[in-house]
Amino acid sequence: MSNVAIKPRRKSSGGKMYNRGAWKYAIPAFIPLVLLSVVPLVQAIWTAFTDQVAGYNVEIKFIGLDNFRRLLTDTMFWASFRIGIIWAVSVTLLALVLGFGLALLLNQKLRFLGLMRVLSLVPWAMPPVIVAIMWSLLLRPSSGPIDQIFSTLRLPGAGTDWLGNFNTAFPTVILIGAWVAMPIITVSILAAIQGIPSEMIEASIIDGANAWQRFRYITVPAVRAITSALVALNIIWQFSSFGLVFVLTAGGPGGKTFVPALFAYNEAFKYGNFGYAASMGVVMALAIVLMLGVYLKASKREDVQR
Amino acid sequence: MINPHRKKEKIVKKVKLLSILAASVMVTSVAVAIPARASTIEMTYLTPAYLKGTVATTERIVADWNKANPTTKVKIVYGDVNNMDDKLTTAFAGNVAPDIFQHEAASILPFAKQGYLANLTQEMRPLKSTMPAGLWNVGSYAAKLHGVPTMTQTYSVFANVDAFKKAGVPIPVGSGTFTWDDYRALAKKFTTDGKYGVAWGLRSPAAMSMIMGMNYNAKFFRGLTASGGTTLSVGAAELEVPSRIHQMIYTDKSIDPASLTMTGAGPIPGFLAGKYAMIFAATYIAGDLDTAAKASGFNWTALPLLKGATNQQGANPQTLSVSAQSKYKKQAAAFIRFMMQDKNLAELALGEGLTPSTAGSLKIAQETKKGSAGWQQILDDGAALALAPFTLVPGYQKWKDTVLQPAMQQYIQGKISISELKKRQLDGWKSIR
Amino acid sequence: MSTNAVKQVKKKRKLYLIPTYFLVICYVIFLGFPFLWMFTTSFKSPYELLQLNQSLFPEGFYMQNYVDILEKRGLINAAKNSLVIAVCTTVLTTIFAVPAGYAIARLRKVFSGAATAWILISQVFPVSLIIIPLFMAVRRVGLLDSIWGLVLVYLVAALPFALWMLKGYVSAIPMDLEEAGAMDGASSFQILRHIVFPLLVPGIVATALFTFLNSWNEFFFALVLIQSPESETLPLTLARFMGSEGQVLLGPLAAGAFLATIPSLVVFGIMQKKLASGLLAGAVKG
Repeated sequence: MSNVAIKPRRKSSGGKMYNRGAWKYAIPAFIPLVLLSVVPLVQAIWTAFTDQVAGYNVEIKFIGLDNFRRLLTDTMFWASFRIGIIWAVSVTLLALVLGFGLALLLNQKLRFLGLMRVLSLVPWAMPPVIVAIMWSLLLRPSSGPIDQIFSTLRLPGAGTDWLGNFNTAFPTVILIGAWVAMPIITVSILAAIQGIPSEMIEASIIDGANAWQRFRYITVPAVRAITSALVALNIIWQFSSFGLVFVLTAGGPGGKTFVPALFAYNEAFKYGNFGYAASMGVVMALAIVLMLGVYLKASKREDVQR
Repeated sequence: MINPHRKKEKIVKKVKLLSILAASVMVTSVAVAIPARASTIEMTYLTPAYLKGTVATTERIVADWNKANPTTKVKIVYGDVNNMDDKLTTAFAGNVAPDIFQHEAASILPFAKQGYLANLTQEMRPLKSTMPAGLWNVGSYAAKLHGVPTMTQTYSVFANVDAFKKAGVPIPVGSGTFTWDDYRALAKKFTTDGKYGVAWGLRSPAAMSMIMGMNYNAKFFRGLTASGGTTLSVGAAELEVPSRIHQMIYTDKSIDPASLTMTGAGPIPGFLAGKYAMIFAATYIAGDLDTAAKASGFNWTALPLLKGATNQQGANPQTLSVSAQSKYKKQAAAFIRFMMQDKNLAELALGEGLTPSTAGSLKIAQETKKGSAGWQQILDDGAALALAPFTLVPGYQKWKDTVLQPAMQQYIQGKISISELKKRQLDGWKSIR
Repeated sequence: MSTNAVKQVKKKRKLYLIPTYFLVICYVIFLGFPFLWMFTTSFKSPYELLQLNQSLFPEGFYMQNYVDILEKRGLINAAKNSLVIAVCTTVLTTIFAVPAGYAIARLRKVFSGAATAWILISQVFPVSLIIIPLFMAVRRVGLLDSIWGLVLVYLVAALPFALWMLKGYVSAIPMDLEEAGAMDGASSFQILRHIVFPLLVPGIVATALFTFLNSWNEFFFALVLIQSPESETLPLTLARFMGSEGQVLLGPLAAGAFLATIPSLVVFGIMQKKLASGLLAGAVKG
């Protein structure tokens, strides 16, 4: 109902006026964006086409697509690329499911609601590095509390080194990533749900809609736009994140959690190959844009159909 | 006919006036300049110190310096050790680097190659004879000193003295008296009824295995040329240390498998609880061991450095460097020499659980830690450190992080064979070059 | 409004309460346990922290960790800096992003392509690679090592996210409401202020909250752009309790992390009431 295609030029006088006025509001936001965002970004992209390395007064030469040619044969980078995509999608989906569920719960009139809502924010309230350290200490085999609880309750999996074991490391890290990503999703979806005019809900109850129908025809459309935005953003963020993974496993064990952002970071800051690292960044960016382009087109098509 | 004379007089007067003017200008400018040159300068010293003791010591040293040198003050800036590389890279690129900073030798080598570090050879000449040549060389590149080694760690086997006493096993002491075979035998001896003899935090084994490789004269890279070309060859010497560790884990079963994925300091709680008779770790854990000793009387010691063909280990000391972009290179060097005075250096090193580099500070450290057998052993072992030649190879770091680390992790966890380990090391090097 | 139907729904709701509370408890444990653990860890002495079998509860109340972190390491100053930066960033971002987000949402055809592309690309490039050109740009403007430089950088980093989110929230507001207002002769500004804004409040609160938190927790830009200890932010100060190879001064770090988390939770505690705002009613009638 709210996503009917907007006709930019309406005949009614009110429509014309408010349309014209509206776009002026966008300008202030774009000035600092352009100055401090466009220029560095363009420079960074430009670096991908040079042979720049770290150094004092080092000479920078334009080398065209050489970095990219080298990248094509870099099997380690592509391995990390695959890991990055699995990571981004898994964390986003898991966080979405968990966060959506929590938002629905928080929308009810429960006791200790305030406390619950505050608690739902905890994972985001801490710097990611602290989160990583905290979880790695929690998951320590034998001396960490989680393992102690597992042992006391005789649960299967007691004694596992969740972050060090080849099979469990990646899923564990994904779970922690989802833990960190949940709050934004929970709060944003909750805000969207709270934004539903209460008359709409009451009217639907009068019309005889049950809980499931209300969910499907009122809640879901209302949060569709924000969920779409959240999924897109999360996939982007997760794909380029590395701080959490770095502290948790440093890309190990055996390279199982080596995400591409960590790869590019090492290339730039550890080995000083700025040009090569920038080319990795460009490839990563292109991949994301492609993935998102597909996703957005698909969701837009759905919108129009409605 | 009076005119030419008058003119001459006038000219002479003018010249006299001008010269007096010029002279007074010169005198005033010199007078103004001198106080300007003597005004206070402030240098920044970036340190990754974070332990309580080290922070207190650093502040004391800087306060002492500032009191003695009120015109060349030093300001401490605390950095965090895990992000020093980022901070330095951007600071150098943006010309806002600290005047003096402390970092480990292996990490500053790239900066030296990039020309960002000042040449300290002249300034530090008096210190050269105070430390072993092997250690001194680690801070140099292309015959120029870019980082003064201050303190180092070694990889040692730590032992639970009470456990040894109870089993009636004598504790090895001295130097060169503890071989890998001895280590294997001891580990086996202490592996009884459900207990493991050794815990070894092998989550990130690459650096350790390269450094310990020097026990068997493992060279890895040969033919380092001026243009940076090298070949990697992995032979029996290079595979000796990994295969011995593998043997202890899988053949003898004397190393606790749970410790294989722990970080270097991970096995400490278990060690303190008496679960293992020995752990293999870097000597910086001595600080934690001392805390336990003080709180519960835990009796620990360090065994002599492991010996293969030799007991040499690759050195990666902490170093102090001066930025090439610094405006006060001479004063910065003077501050470094002050920090390295025997008493200061000994205090700093001991606070970190490390061995100080200079002979004088080593003596003071040994005095201070007289009552601890473990410390005596650690401090004695400092002489066995030498420059690890592979650190000079371009691309070594990338190979170590992206090829060796995952391969070693898989080998240690029993996922690949030793021939596969060798293959991966060689193939990985080829793809990086 | 039929109260009977509403009452029926409410009755049905009571049946759902048991499984609902069960889920709530699961979530509470999942979210809160690590935090609780950190809180209790901050009261343990260094020796306690070396023990093999540590219980959840500390043996005593070892306050030295808190003393250490407050007294010696400039945590309070860093907290002050972080607060100033986060508040300024949030306020500025909200001021810029709300109107702009509205514009993007309403003028899809005109703006959407370029804006969307811009927002995506700026988020997609790994931060670590933009850092050096950005560092140079900030240096050129003379704002290196200054709190205001950091505010500017955070503003620029936060705008794409805020725009994206607000665009989503605005899209959820039915166009009919605005058209109704326009029919009544309201100006574009009045529509924005009296019709759109009230419905947007939860969305704005959510976005502002996350802008605040992102700024509060941000580490990498601060690490590179701040050189002097006086201008340090909280994450930088906390990072200094970590050594190499996973070693940490766990006691003081836990204390510091706990203290650092409190302000965000307090702010959220206050703001979350707005999320359940009753301002929603009456938008159509009024």
